[in-house]
Amino acid sequence: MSGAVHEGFAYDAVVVGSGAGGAMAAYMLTKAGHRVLLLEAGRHYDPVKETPMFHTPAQAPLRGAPTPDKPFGFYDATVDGGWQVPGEPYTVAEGSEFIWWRARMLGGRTNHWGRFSLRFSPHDFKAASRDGHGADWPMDYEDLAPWYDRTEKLVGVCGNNPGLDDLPDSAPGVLQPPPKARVPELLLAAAAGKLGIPVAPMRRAVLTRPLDERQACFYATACGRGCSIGAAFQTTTSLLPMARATGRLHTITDALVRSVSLGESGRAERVTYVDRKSGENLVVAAPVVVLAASACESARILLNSHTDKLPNGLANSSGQVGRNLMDSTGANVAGHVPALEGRPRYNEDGHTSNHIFIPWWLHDAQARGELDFPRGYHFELGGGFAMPNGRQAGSDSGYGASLRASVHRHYGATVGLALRGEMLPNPSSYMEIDEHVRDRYGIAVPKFHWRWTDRELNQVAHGLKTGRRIIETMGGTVFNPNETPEEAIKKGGEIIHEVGTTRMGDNARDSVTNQWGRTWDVPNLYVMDGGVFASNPHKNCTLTIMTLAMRNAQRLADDMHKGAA
Amino acid sequence: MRRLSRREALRRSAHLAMAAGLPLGFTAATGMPGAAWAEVPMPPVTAPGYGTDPDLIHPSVPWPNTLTDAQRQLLSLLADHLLPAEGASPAASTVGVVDVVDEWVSAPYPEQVQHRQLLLAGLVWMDADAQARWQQPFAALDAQRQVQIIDSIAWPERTVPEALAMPVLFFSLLRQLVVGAYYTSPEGVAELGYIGNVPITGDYPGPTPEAMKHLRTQLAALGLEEVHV
Ligand SMILES: Cc1cc2nc3c(=O)[nH]c(=O)nc-3n(C[C@H](O)[C@H](O)[C@H](O)COP(=O)(O)OP(=O)(O)OC[C@H]3O[C@@H](n4cnc5c(N)ncnc54)[C@H](O)[C@@H]3O)c2cc1C
Ligand code: SF4
Repeated sequence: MSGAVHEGFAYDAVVVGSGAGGAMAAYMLTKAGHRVLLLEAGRHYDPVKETPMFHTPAQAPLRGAPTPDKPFGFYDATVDGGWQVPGEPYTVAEGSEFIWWRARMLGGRTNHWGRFSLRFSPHDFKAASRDGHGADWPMDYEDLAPWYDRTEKLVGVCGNNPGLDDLPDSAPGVLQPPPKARVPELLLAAAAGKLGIPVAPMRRAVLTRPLDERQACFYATACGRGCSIGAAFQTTTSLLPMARATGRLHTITDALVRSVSLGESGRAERVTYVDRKSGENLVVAAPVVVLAASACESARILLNSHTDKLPNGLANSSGQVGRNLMDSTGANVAGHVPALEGRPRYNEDGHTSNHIFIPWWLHDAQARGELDFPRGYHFELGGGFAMPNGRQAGSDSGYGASLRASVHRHYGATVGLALRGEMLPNPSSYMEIDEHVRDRYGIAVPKFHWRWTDRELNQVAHGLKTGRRIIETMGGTVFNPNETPEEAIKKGGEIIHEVGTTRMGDNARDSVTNQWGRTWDVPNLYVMDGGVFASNPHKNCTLTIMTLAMRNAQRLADDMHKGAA
Repeated sequence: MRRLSRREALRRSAHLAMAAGLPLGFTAATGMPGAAWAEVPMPPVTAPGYGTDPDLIHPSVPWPNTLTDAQRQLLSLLADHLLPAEGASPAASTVGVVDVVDEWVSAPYPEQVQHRQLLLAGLVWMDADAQARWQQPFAALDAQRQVQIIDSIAWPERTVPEALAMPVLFFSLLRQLVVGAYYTSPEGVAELGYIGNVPITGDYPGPTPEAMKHLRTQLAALGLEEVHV
């Protein structure tokens, strides 16, 4: 293998991005004995020092309320980002609605993700063969199952094996015990049960037992702020320190990759990045390149790497780079439940997110053709005595004693069901490069095109109806009973599960990489983020991003040892 | 100050209500005594926000408070109408609510700048309405008259004359800000009975026996069966 040297550090591979996919790739490669140069666009970030664990809204500007500077609230871990990154815009085609969440920090969006970690199930991998929509995965569940086990064990996922078809069992001893369900969740479960709808403990990348250097959750402090004790998985307290400990990782932060260039042989040879601090363009040699900058950032790098010989961009002979962009569908149903009013107080923080959820339960009905949409969804369940925020008034009216009583009546008595569903790829949802708009470094920016189809809207309609029935079965009042699916469905990108822009497949004609994340066109160029997804099952993408990165980086590490990468 | 036409006031109130996520309900009845809504001219807020990478461990507010003493006094009075002392709970003005509202309407972000318009105009309207009815500023009225004015704008779900659409919206915003500030103060948190945000060693204990007993009573009343997860 041809090595390269950067500032005295000899390395075998360049990994771009330190989030879910990139950190896993760097960890696997360094553990296997390879030396990795990691380029990360964001600043250095240390959750041990920077996480405001027990801070209260009272200590924050505007009681912690969201602002354009911090769209998920003051304490959210996101650095220099959110729906906009200063100086780094994106554009959206007329008639489309799409929003794009980014962070500019070591560890990327893993510092504040929701940690919901549901492995895909066997039917998810061959759905196209079953119902004719989208594309199959070039592998089976059985190929990935052992890697899911290894990833879940390394990442630390709590949950159990209830034996439901949408929630395949993990191997014995893999999952950590889930925390007990709380009162609003138990009431939701009972209402769902009456309607024949199952519930199960949510699987979350939150430790309930210590693991490596990381502590178990102490059941306080919102995980979106990050977790200084390492209980909530983020790469900055786990994979990155572990890769660093091998002595074979060298990280450059504030390094925004703009392009990858080929040598005469058709192999990737150089990576060009901008030092975000100085604005200078720098070039590093690249024996092997792993792109894991997130689905749309990696696709942007490939498209922006176009040359006279490759006018459509790098690794894009299929024309599929940027295409097949998918997010999850999202919609909320919420309501007030009198049965939860005035109930005995106790510490209901738990791990500050869903302890239980409703997995998709209608595969059979779908197979029998009883539903007017092809793919499933799940509900994330919420409600409880949360730390009071600045929105305590809700829609209360009046003043004085009656107002006070009303605030008390509502506290802990609101429940919500958040729908997350599978979207199918469609020709109107994709990204390309907007040659007319450049970021502050002169790099052309992504332009998004978006459309939901009836397949998604019908699914959301079903979800709204079901969610409302569950709340009514609890004796509750739905807040927005007449909301239509068109009104309820979230914008494209809003659920922050973008995938598909460099999809994998079993041939070079209609996919960008093979099942190992290796681009068909360039033998030493790999993609290891959500871009490679062939479809976007409703089960939040990140666990599968990490599982694929683990499996494919292991394969790459083996190939590198053999000199075959 | 510029008086708004009826149509303009309506258009604005609908727009503001949407932007602020506030309820809006009124019809076209008129003939009430009282003041017309007037816009307050205001210099743009030029102070900086806290940026996209603020120090989260040592939070600070980079913009100055901007309300006048007179505005703060009126706010304090209204806050105590919204949440007066009751039992062991202190009155809103004693737990820093006015500071929070001042910080809020002095902030440079678009939502807060919009709220600033509505809130400051609302404070002017409170005094103008008191003057129109009883030839005195609001603070000089006796409690009963103060409540009479508040009652006319405190119920967004009720039908009110069009002239009160903006005042109702103002009061809804004020309610949201005061209640939000109050129940995030240590005193408000204690009053609601929130007892989390403390580290627990070992497994999460789950609901207490009393909490489960209450749940089971409710399940029985609803004809629901407990599900074991
Ligand atoms: C609030 C929130 C909640 C979420 N909840 C969940 C959940 O519960 N479950 C779930 O499965 N998913 C969830 N997600 C999604 C999850 O965060 C992403 O799927 C996951 O982080 C994607 O991993 P990634 O490696 O592709 O990208 P990222 O984690 O975003 O990492 C990409 C990294 O690459 C860097 N980078 C970007 N461009 C460049 C460049 N040109 N050069 C160099 N570096 C670059 C970025 O700065 C970043 O550090 C959530 C996301 C958010 C924001
Ligand atoms: S709830 Fe648990 S996992 Fe989440 S941030 Fe707090 S300690 Fe960490």
